[in-house]
Amino acid sequence: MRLPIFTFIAVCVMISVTAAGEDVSEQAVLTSYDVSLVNLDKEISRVIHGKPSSITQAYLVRLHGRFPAMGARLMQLYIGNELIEEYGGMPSGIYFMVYDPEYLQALSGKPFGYCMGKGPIRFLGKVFSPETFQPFAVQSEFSALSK
Amino acid sequence: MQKTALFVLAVLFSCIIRIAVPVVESRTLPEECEDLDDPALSGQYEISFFEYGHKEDQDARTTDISPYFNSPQSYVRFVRRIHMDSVPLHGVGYIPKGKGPFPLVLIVHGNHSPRELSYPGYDYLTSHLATHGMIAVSIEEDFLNGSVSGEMDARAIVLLRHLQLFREWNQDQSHQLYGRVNMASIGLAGHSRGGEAVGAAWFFNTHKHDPYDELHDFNFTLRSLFAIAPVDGQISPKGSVHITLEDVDYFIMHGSHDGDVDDFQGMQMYDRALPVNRPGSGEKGMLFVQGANHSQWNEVWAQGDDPRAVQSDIALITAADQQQVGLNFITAWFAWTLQEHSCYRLMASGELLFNSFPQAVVANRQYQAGERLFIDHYEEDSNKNSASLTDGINNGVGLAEWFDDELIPGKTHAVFTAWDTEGAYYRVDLPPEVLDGADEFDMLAFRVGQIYEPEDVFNVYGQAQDFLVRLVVDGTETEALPILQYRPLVSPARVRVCSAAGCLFRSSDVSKTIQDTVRIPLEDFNPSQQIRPAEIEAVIFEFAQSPSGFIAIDEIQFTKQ
Repeated sequence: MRLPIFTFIAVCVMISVTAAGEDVSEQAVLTSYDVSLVNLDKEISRVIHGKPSSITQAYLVRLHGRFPAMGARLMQLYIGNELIEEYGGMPSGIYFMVYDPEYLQALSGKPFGYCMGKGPIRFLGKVFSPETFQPFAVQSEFSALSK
Repeated sequence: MQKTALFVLAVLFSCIIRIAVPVVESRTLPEECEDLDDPALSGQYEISFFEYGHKEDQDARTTDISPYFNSPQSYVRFVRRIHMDSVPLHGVGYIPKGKGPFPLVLIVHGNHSPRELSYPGYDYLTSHLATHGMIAVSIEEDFLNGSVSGEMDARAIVLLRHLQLFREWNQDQSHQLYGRVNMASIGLAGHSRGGEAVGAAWFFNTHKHDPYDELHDFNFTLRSLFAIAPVDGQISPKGSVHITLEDVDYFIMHGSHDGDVDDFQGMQMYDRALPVNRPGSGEKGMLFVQGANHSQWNEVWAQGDDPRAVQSDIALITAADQQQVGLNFITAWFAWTLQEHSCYRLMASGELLFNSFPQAVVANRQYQAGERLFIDHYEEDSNKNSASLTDGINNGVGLAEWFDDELIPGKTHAVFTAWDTEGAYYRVDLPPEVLDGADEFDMLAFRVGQIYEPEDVFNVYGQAQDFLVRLVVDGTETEALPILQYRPLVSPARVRVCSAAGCLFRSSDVSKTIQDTVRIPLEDFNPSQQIRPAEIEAVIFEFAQSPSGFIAIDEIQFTKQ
């Protein structure tokens, strides 16, 4: 009779411990990040400070870690209260490009965060400090994003 | 924790207690609709397979979407070697045999791992639509899939670039599609993020149209949209743009067991569409399938699971049944809106269901006709006593609860009424003379649904609700009609979405209040004498069919059969 009781107690403990945590499938975990300069494979056009600009090089911010599964719902990535509207996936996490050095500077010193849907912004445990990666390494998109 | 554990135990040891509410055919069909074919049956056309933009296509085209999105999944860039300035315009589908011209339907998938191609998953729809005389193509947007954000506008632009191809081919004497595409009858369908993309494509079709820019020469005649389990708001995560559909017909379909878009956010786009404060410029309908999930609408995705499991005493319906439901409604919708087979409107309006619809599947249905005169839509103010129709008065008597509030999921306000005593009713007094000239309307309609209650308070879980509706005509009350005669007000599905660790450890209640549209011909209130809206002084909802209940009523209106 003791074994089933101990099993029941163990299950209850597991439930209580896990219930206090978050939904793992929608959890983001930021292990590390880095900033570099990438030479774009192809020139693109973007509007910078109201002016159409041709871009051949961009700041690449890579976030290494685990992020919610690919599906319909969107994980919104924040630096401070600034929403990073566009990002993509790579083997070790996600990345986004910054085309305007002033924008990069404006994000400096603010924490990484994320939310799913209308939920609160959750802190990812790290503060964005691009200056710590200066002088920025220069690499190709392939080198930066294919591994 | 205790509640979760108890709920799990209840699920483990309970039997299925759902009462499958029988399909109710609300009224006699018009004579011209009596021989209407089941849309699930194959149509009369022979079809031929059609693919373009694949590797063997000598005329394969690409398009530049890098101004809209330039952060693809690295798999797309470096394994598939697709750059955003030259994404393939690749589609696969079927063409009916014959001269045409045939309506055109494009279907687009949503987000998924780009390592598993999503676009083949709608073959069951495209092949079937083609037998019904439509050119139906599933377009590839797998290059926009992955752990991505900010790509929604690109998804819409790709759709429009495909339409540019069809316009070109339709005018090219050397192409097999020359003269065979009815460019005045175009429908777009989308699933998941693709569901929002069709709305975004509708928006960009005019807002980004530039006849002098060949990349943005759009302005297509988009007549009809069909959204399957869509998301809403990703076109503008900062919230600066909310697409409000007008001058287009719109249908949305979703499942109670959706383990991805579990909040049914697409209902917001539905509620915004064809706004109540503007003249009706289209038709819209909604189908909420109890037991349907997110993935099974797509035959490829159906081989896996939704990102999160759900827990409910209502079983997940089979992929075959779910696809049968989808096929039923998408065929009927486009047959009506693109081919003017108007009898199929009766499926959208909830007045008709064919035997091919899986009998055990329970679904909520809403329908909004283009021509309507609202009595109460509850959007104008927070005064529960004032009706939307000028000088109309709302009054609740003997109610345990009576208030106006926002109804979620969705983007609408409704009146919430609860009763637990005899004699309770909700009455809308109509102002005199306002309805003079409204003789064209011959039907009373409204949206109504049981409020979801985590525990039985006013409603009884698993039981349909019912109440009576009567009119006051020239000072005389008409016969009271039971709602159950027109639409069963089914019990909301109790559903919890589970964490990745499993349902045993953590789950969230994602049960929803979903409304149905009830449509009652005015003649039913008094078969011996025609009733004109101008003669109606009041509409009374009498809660006399069950000892208690809690419902939300919205968009009370006069409309047409």
